[in-house]
Parts: sequence; C-alpha cells; structure tokens
Amino acid sequence: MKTLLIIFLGTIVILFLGINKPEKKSLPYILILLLAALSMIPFDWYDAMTGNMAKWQTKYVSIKMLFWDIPALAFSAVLIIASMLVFILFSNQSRKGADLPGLMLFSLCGGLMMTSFTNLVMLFLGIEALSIPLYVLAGSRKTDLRSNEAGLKYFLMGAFSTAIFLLGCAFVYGGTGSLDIISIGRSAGMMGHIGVKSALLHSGIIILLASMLFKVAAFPFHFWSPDVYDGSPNRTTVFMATVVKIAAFAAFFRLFQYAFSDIKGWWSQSMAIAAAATILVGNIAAVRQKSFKRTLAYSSIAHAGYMLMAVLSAPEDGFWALLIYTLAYAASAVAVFYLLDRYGKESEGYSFESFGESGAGNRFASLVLIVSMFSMAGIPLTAGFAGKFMLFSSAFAQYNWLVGIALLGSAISIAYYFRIFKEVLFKPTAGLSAYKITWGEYAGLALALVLTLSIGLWPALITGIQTMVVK
Amino acid sequence: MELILIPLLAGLLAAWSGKYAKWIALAGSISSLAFLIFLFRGFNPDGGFQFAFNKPWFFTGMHFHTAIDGIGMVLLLLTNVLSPVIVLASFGKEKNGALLVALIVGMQAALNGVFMSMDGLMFYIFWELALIPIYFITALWGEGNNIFRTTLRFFIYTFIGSLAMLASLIYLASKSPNGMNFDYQSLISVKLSLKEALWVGSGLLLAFAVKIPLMPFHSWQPDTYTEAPAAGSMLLSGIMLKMGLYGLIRWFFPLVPEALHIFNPIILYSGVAGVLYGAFIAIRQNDMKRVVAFSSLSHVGLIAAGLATMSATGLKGSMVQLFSHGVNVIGLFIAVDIIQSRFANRQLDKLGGIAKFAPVFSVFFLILVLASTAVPFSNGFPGELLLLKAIFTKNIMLGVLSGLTIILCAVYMLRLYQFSMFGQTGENISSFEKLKWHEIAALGILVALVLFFGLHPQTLIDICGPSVEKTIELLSNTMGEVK
Repeated sequence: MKTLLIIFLGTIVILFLGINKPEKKSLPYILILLLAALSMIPFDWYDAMTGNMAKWQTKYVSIKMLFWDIPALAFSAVLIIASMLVFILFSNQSRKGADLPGLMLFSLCGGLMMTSFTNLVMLFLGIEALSIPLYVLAGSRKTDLRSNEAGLKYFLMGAFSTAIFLLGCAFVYGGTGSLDIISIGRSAGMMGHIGVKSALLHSGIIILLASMLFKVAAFPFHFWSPDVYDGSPNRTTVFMATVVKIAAFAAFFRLFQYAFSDIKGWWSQSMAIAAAATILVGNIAAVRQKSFKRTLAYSSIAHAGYMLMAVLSAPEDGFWALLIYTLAYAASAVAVFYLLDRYGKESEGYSFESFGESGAGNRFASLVLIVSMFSMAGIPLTAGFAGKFMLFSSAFAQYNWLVGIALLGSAISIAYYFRIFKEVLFKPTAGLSAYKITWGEYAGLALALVLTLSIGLWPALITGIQTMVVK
Repeated sequence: MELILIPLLAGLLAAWSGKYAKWIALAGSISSLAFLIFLFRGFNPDGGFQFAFNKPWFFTGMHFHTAIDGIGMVLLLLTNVLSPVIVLASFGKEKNGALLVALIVGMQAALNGVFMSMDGLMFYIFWELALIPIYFITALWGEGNNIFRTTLRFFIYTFIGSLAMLASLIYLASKSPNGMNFDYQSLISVKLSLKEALWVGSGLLLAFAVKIPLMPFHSWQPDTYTEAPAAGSMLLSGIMLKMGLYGLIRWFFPLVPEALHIFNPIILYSGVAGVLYGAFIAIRQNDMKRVVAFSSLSHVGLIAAGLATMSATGLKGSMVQLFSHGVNVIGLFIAVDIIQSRFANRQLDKLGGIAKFAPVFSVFFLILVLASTAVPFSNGFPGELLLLKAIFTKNIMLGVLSGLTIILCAVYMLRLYQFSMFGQTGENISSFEKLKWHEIAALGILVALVLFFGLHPQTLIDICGPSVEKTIELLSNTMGEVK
C-alpha cells in the first residue's frame, strides 16, 4: 500500500516541480521517489511473512480490493526496479516538462494495482490506469507518423481488449456471484467438486483468458505488438516491453492461479497450446526480421510464451520461476534497448546493418550487450538461464511436450540473438566510440549487469529471501 | 574446485591486462596443471571418486559437486597439459592477443569443470560454458568470408544437442524418488522403462554425437575446423570433442543402460562409417587443415566405435586413444599453423620442398605425422591396437573395415607430409624463418608426450583401468537386470 501511495503522490509533486524545466532535471527526484517506494517493500514483506504467512491464501478477507501478499510485493519490486533502469538509462531526453515521465509513473501505479488486486474491479482499474498513459506515450512524438500509428493502433486494440475483459468479468460474476477472486475461487472449486458446470463461468474464463493473452501479446492475439513496439519512441517501447508486460503477467498469474486454479482442467489445455504457439511464432518470426527493433518485439512475444508456462504450473513453483524470469528479462531487455537506442540508426529503422559503424566502440557496453543477449537466450550462469530452467522444470511434470517446444524455441532464438553480435562485434569498425556514455548510464548498465550475473550465479539470492526473512 | 577457479581468475586477469596478458594466461594455465599434478600425487587409482567437493548451489536438488576418478583424471591431464601448449602456440597472434589467451584459459576452466562434474545440471552448465569461449575464438579470429555463418551453424548445432540433453537430464532428475535431484549417483540409480530410456538416451546421445561428431551429425565440423583460427581448431579437436566421448562413457552409458542394446550398435556402425568416410575424404583434400579435420573425424569414429563395444579392452583403448589423439591433432594443427604463418598458404599443391630449409621443423612434423599414423613406439599405436582388437572381438566384419584405417591413415598422412615438405619447391618458398622459442616449446612438449606414451602407455591404463572396470561392472549389472 505504501509503495503505491508514495509513487502516486510523489508523481503529482514531480509534475509540478518539472514545469518548464528540461526533463533531465526531474530525473533525480524520480529516482529518489522510486527508491523510497522500493525501500518500503522489505517492511511490508516482513509483515506479510511474520504476521500472516500461514494464511497466505486466505487472508484477503480483511482488506477487500487490494492486498499486498508475497507475490504482490515481489512483482511490485520487479516493476519498480525495471522502471528505475528505464529512467536511468533513458535519461537523455531534451524535452521540457515532466509530463512524459509523469505519465510513465502513473502507468507504473496502474501496474502496482495489477500486481495486488483481489477484486476484478480493481484489476480493471489497474489495467486502465496502466494503459491510458501508454496510449499517450506511444503517440508522444506528434510529428512522427509511425508514432501516431502506434498510438492509435494501441488505443484501438487496447480499448477493444478491455471491453472483452469487462465482458468476461460480467460472465464470471454471473456464474459465481462475486467479483472477489477468492470467493470466485471458492465457488468455482465448489462447483467443480459437486460436478456442476456453469456455462457462464466457463465461457467467462475463456473470455478473460483471451483478453489477458491480448494484454501480454500472446498468440493468437499478438499481432498488434510488433507494430506498436516498432512505432513508439524507444523509451516507451522498452517501458511496454518490460514494465507493462511484467505487470500484465503478474495480474495474469494472480487471476488464474487464485481464482481459477481449481478448475484448471477447463482452461489449461488451451493455454498450453497458446503458449506453445506463442513460443514458435515469436521465435520464428523474429528470425526473419530485418530491423533489430522488430526482432526484439518478436522476441518479447516469445518471452511471453515462456512466461505463460508459469501460469500453467503449480502456484509456488510457478511464482518463483516467474519472478526470476521477469527480473532477468527486465534487466537484459532494458540494457539491450538502451544499446539499440544508442548504437542503432533510427533513420534506417534500426536495421541490423545500421549498427556496424558505431558498435564495439565501448568495451563495457559490448560486454553488457553480450551478457544481456546470453541472458535472453538462456545461456547458463546468466539470470535468463536460471529463469528458463525454473520455468521449464516447474512445467515439466504436466506439460513435457510444451517444454520440448520451449527448448526448440530457445534453440531457434540463438539465430537472431547472436545476429547482432555479427554487426556490433565482428565487423571492422571505423568510427570507434561514436557515443560517449555518461556516468549515470554506466551505473544503469552496471546495475543491469550485476542483476543478470548475480541471479545467474546464485538464484538462491532471490528464492532464498523467503527463508531468510523468517530467520 | 581450484582447477576451475585458477584458470578462470587467470582468464579474467588476462583479459584486462594488455601486453602482460600472455604471461598471466600462461602462468594461470601452468599453475592449474601444477595443481593437478599435486592432486595426482595423492590420487589413488582404485576406481573411486576422489577429492570430492560438494556444496549446494543454484536450486534445490542441484549441487556444486566435483570429484575425480580415473577416467576424469586422464581427461583432466589432457586438458591441463594441452592448454598451456595452446596458449604457447598462440603467443604470436598480434590482433587482440590478450582477449584470445584469456578466452583459451577461460575454456580450460570450463573444460575442467566438465570433466569433474558429479551433478547433472552442473555438467550441463559447464558443457554450455565451454561453448562460449570457443564461439568467440572462432568468430573473432576466424578466417574466411563465411566465418559468422559457420560459427553460428556450429553453435546452433551444439546448442540444440545440449538442450536435448538438458531435457533428458530434467526428466531423469524429476524421476528421482525424493523430488528433483541432479546428483550423479541418484541419476544413475533411476530406473527407466525401455521406452523412456530410448527417449532420454536419444536426447543425451544427440548432444554427444554432435560434439564428437558421429557420422550423420558431422557436417558442422570440417568447415568450422578449417575456418577457425589455429587455437580454435586445436581446442575444438584436441579437447572439446573429447567432451562428447567423455560424455558417452561417464553419462550416457550409466544413465540409460536399459536401452544400450539398441543404442550401442548404432554408435558402433556410425563410428566405423565415420572412420572410412573421414579417411576417404581426407585423401582427396588439398587444404592441409581440411586433411587434419577429416583425419580427426576418422580417428574419433574409431574411438566411439571402441567405446560402443562395451568391453574393458575397448574402453581402455579409447581412453589411451583419447589422450593420444588430443596430443597428435594439436601437434598437427600447430605444424599447419607454422607453415601458414610462414608462407600465408596451406594448399598442398602450392607447397613443397620445405624440408630443405627447415630441418628441425621437419623432424617435429614427421614425428607427429607418424604418431597419427599409429606407428609402433608412438603414442598412436597402443590405443589403436586395443581399439581394433575390441572391435574385432565384437564383430569381425566391422573389425576388418575399421582395420583399413591403418592403411588409409598412412595414405593421407604421408601424402600431407610429402606434398608439403618434400618434392618440388613450391612458389614463394625460398627460405624458412627460424622457429621461435614458443613454437619450439609447444612442439617439443608434444613430441615428448608422443614418445613417452608411445613407449609407456601403461601409465594411462594404470590411471583409468580400475575406473573403466568399475563402469563396466556397473553396466553389466544394470543391463542384466533389464534382460
């Protein structure tokens, strides 16, 4: 609760502080704000662990709409860390006013609500609070046609999927008589137990599944994402690819694991098929792209496919796997997008060839690029491997065919993740160190690198938190 | 444990230390060897696992567990003796030399990890880690226009294999009675039905067959060997493909004994096919590196076939031949690299008559060529003898076919030597720059190894013998159970 309040109130203050000043000036305030919000999480965590650990699943009764339990706190922390990385690495904006970062922070508030809802209405509000600023951000370069296209497309698609989501909510309400996810879970479980099949509930679940697949850009509702990612300004793209996607997954996980896990048989098969198709479509389409930015957009579709496996697995395993995976994905994706922003040429649509002249100028940046790419591809001793391994082994018991497809997908992904090496590292470079990296950006890259490597070497850093706090 | 850390630290140091990098890397590589020798003095070749180091790591069910037995010891000796040689051989490389030697010693660390792992997941992790330095070595220092394609193909090939292995390992680990457990002993004790064993075994075999490479999975190999820089070819052929053979003997056979009666003939036949295929193609090659590459395919096929006989002779012969092949093939690549660095050319039809100008070099080269041809008193002989004997006992027809390797190998090896060193003097060959000290050191060490193990192969058999017998005993027990 504290995190959400701090960020929300702080953002209002920052909006006023930033009037008529270059955007860079408000960066320190933003970082302080985010750090303050992040520092609240351990306290909340401690409360959640010591006070109510035993009632992890049943505690929701006391506070009706939002509840910060362990998964909510953990995903909030990931969201805040990801936004910090975005703000640090993409600080070099010449615009005046703090409206764009303000919109991003408001969007983050929506994300925090999506991680901690216990009521479908709150989830709806969270999705809206997350999305509406994004429609503006996607179209924020008003003179750029592609940005306009991205904004409009995202708005239409987003509004459409939200409407579908509401329809699903209504059906589920009709089927169970409640919007609270625990009560829904209880009545769904009861119905399953006595063998009653509610057409309303079941079709509601499928509609909700469709709208959530839409939000995370998974097959068969992934078509909007490459265009939107490609057209949006880089900072918005990386925000969508990390923060928004992680928030959507946190909500997805919470909704389906808490409310519908007792009737898993009804939806799990279709979700498994969607996950498999997402992995294949994302990876195969990414191989054929000419533009690195579009490749990354398709690769984020593939990552959504892997993350769907967490929703399918057992709650506890799935949660830790998803947590590690999202953290790994956020760290490497932000770093890679930063390098794309620095080294690529926008005029050539970030095509692979346009990277040749400026890459390899900076050893540290190259190192970060290599490690991040390895992490995305799931090479051992990076966080990506830890995440993939946990996802695969948690889903292995029930869906070994899906794990097989996911492994195949990872093998395909090498082809395009390593393609950028060819341009950046292996080409003889004429204009060395074409860009100077500022100290702040060094710090941001170093943070991403440390996250990736430390989780990769020692995932127990994260998975061990649980036992640590109890001691 | 230290065997991994020492070279790893040396590699990290060397990467950032500019012109002293070579010396730091060499020192790290040699001190790892020294540490291994220190361990070796306390090593008791009774077939048990020694020097165990076991700490929980990573996830529940996974441990950082290292231990050494006879089989591992032979491969560790191979890795740590040859890595300094490879570092020495790449002393002359100017372009980004620091990074190159750093990657070589990093590779040494990863390989040591592979040969000591007693945990399935740890084995997988080091198996992948060994792939990364070699990828960069090949891609950054390789020659040829298609180098990126070639290395990418190599990487994807091996990565698919490794992922299949990972799937198999996860499956086995999830079968263990109390939750996920990747420990070697627990993985071995998992009982599978024949169908499961076939699936799991195919996954594992894919990884190893790509690495070795066994016949249908070899197509990445010749191009990669040819276009890789000398150090890359040496690492790949000398040490890395031994990972595949080691994987067969340490992991594949004990993990899926239930299906070995189906898998073993496949390995045997494809090994022998590789022997003949590699040899016939090697005879027709013009590029010296390609000759060596295909000869390596041929030799390794023989080793794999020997392993698949599942007899004590075959396994011991394989271990001896593993070691000797590593030494010989690295020697040959160094010789080719020396010729290439002098004449910027390694096409047999344009070379010739070098022996006139380079008496010392030609002696070194001749010894290495003869050792590859398995002349008695060279290290190639005892291993090949044992292997052929094992295959003969198993299947006379295959024994005869693989016996041809002696003749064919003599043909292509002597052809390699004759066309480059004797005969009409090739274009642009009028003098031979004297061998540099590091080249002499590298060749000298290798030739010393050739002669020592040619005269006294029993040393290696003493080290690995008991472990080999233990493995066979284990297998005959479990294979019997299924029948």
